[in-house]
Amino acid sequence: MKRATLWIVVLSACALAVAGCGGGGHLRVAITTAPTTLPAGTNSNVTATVTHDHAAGGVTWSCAPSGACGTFDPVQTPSGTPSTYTAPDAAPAGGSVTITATSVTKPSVSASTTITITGVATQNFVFYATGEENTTFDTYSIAGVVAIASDGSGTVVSGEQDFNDGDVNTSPQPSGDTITGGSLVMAGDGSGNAVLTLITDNPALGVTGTETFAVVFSNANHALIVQFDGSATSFGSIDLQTATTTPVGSFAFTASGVDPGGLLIGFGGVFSFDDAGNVTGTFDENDGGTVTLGTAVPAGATLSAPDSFGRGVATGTTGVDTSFNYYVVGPEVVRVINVNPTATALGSAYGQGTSAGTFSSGSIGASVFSVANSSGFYAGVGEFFTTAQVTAAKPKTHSPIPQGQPACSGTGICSFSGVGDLNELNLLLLPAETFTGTYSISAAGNGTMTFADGDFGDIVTLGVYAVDPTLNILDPNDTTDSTGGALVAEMDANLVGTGSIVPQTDTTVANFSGAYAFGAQGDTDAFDDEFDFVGAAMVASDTGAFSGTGALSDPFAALSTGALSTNATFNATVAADAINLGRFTLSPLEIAASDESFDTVDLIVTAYQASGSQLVWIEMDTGSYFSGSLEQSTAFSSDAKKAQAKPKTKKH
Amino acid sequence: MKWRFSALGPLALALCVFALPLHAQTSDPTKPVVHLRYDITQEITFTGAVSSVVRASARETKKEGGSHLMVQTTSGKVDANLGEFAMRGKDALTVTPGQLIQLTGVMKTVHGQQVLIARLVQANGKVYKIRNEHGFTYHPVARKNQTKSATKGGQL
Repeated sequence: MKRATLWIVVLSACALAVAGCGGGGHLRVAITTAPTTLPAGTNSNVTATVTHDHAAGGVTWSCAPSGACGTFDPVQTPSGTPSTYTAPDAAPAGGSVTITATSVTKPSVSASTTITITGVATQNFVFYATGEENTTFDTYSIAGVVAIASDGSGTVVSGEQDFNDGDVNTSPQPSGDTITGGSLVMAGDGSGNAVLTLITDNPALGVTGTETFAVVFSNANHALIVQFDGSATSFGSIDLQTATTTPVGSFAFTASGVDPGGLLIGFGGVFSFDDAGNVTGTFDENDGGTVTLGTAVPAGATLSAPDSFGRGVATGTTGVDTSFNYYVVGPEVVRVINVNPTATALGSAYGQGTSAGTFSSGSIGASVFSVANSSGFYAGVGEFFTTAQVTAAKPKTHSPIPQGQPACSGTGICSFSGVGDLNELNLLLLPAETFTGTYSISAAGNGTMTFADGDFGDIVTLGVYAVDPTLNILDPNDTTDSTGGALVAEMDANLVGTGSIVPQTDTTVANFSGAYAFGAQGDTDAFDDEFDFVGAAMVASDTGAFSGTGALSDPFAALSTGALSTNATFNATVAADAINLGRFTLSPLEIAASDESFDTVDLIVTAYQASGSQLVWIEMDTGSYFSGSLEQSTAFSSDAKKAQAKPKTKKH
Repeated sequence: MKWRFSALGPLALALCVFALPLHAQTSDPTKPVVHLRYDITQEITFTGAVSSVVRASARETKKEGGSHLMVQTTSGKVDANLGEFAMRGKDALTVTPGQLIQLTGVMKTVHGQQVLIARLVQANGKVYKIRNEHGFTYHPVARKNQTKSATKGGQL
């Protein structure tokens, strides 16, 4: 027993000694894991170990300089448990940050280390536009990716692009042009208006290699753009890039441009891309009025793997053109540009998602549509509803609500009936023209939509190519509204053009109000030359007052007295069509210069509402037309709303 | 096919032969009932002397877009629309007042006036293709590519 007692005493003494050591030792913090350098905007694990922490409180992470040093997730970690440290989007002054782990139990104890931040974090945006060059009058296409610093500076860090007029200016292939710098400068009034400058390594483009675009953001991920540096004028969009990998799956596709013989050409089709980049499918073609439907893509067509900017090349014979490059916007959206030096074309491919192979005529219901070609001098927009096939006479008015007609059952031929506005620049002007027709959509998602003979001017047959019902065609990163529908391409002998069909989900007049980003592309009979504009406006819900600011690109003096102006004002009063629900007039739309740098013009304008968040509009003057979109804006700040709400004084 | 003015005799003959009434042709009853913007079956061909070349802004001239030729024929004066590109850019068509030319196209009513939508212009010993058989104008790129491929001359 003595021996046992002795052991108890010894063990107790030892236990007390150990306990005494723990309680009386110093609590210490050490950062055991942390990088010494980290690229801006990227992340890495950081770990701290706390010793002699009887409360096991762990550490709280912090950094300096405050507000420019990055973030931690989580901010508090137990001893030995990593936190994810995300570096700031740009290095702070001095080029490094200090991170600190502070004991929760004893806040006076901490440990710090320094991390050198390299480079600038960027977001990639994919842009594309088509329009008219100033000196050659050529139709041109441009598409590319621009990496913009995420730190709010608007610095253009890098990028690449393809430019092609099929005549004088074609970016070198396969490299394309390199974007070496530039800037995105917001207007500063909270409207979403901005100017994007791209410095390229191609001195033949823009002004000695520098291209300038006027931009209006409807949200942080999407904007409408016009080139307005005087070398050319064009209209398109720019969207946040969310993927850079080879597209896979079924896609609907349209493109238009000018063929090597100088004739307008348009395409539409449904393609599938497999994991290896192999392309299969069929396409329709309209080459200067000669229409060929349902051509199979030849075997051997493939997409090369895209580079780090999401730019790739279509190789082999696609049947459409052997020189297409593509830019990935996201998993289901791709921009395509013809880089053949003897022709030009620009278009998009949109995924069909899980609906691939299951489409039918029932996939298209009440919708708003638009189709146009700035090189073909026409635009048509309108709204229609669909029913089972009927042979009813052409209605005198349009209602988006089917009037006792059975719904389109899905398969086979169905009918549509609607109202539209068509402007063929002097040759034909059809405001509020009612029409009927028939259409069918195959399981693959392609089909045709045929207007009853002469019902809608020279628009007779549209190729229709259905897209994923969850995709927003105009704003592909917005999956919350205005989703689904189809791409369209003229497939008759009269016109060549492309456009879209967007489901009409809301014709409530009051919902055409609030903040909008808008843009349009048009031509006038002044030598059929082009003008373009973008802007941001407020639409008052009570008075219908449309009041906006933006940029006008009118280098040919086609619309006014010639302008490359970011001081344009846009004013109108929105009035609902009492007969055709969903149709509005904004006449006159007064475009003026706040600095009186160009003469004021008043235009007759009509809009069709797909929903409160998305409308298409068209100018309906005899010697001038435009078409484009109005997209509800979340980029508009409250300050800008107040400023825009002030009444404008007309300038004449 | 090339058209050439080689002597005054054929020219005079052409003046007589082609100075046709502008609405002499009637529509083809066999034509399918499909709306056509440019109906080639309605084409006419005539010869006349250029009285003026209109290249100014349409806002000033009140004409539809593009360049126009005012042509004096035995049936009267004809306004011929050549579209946006025929008289613009490199290797553009050049004609002068008084010059004899031959035009092929379709008459249309624009702003209440009869206008010839010209498809072919025969001048300077060449046939200039302004539009194709569907009425689509040829863009300037056609000239470069034709020159580049050294194919038949004359087309715009």
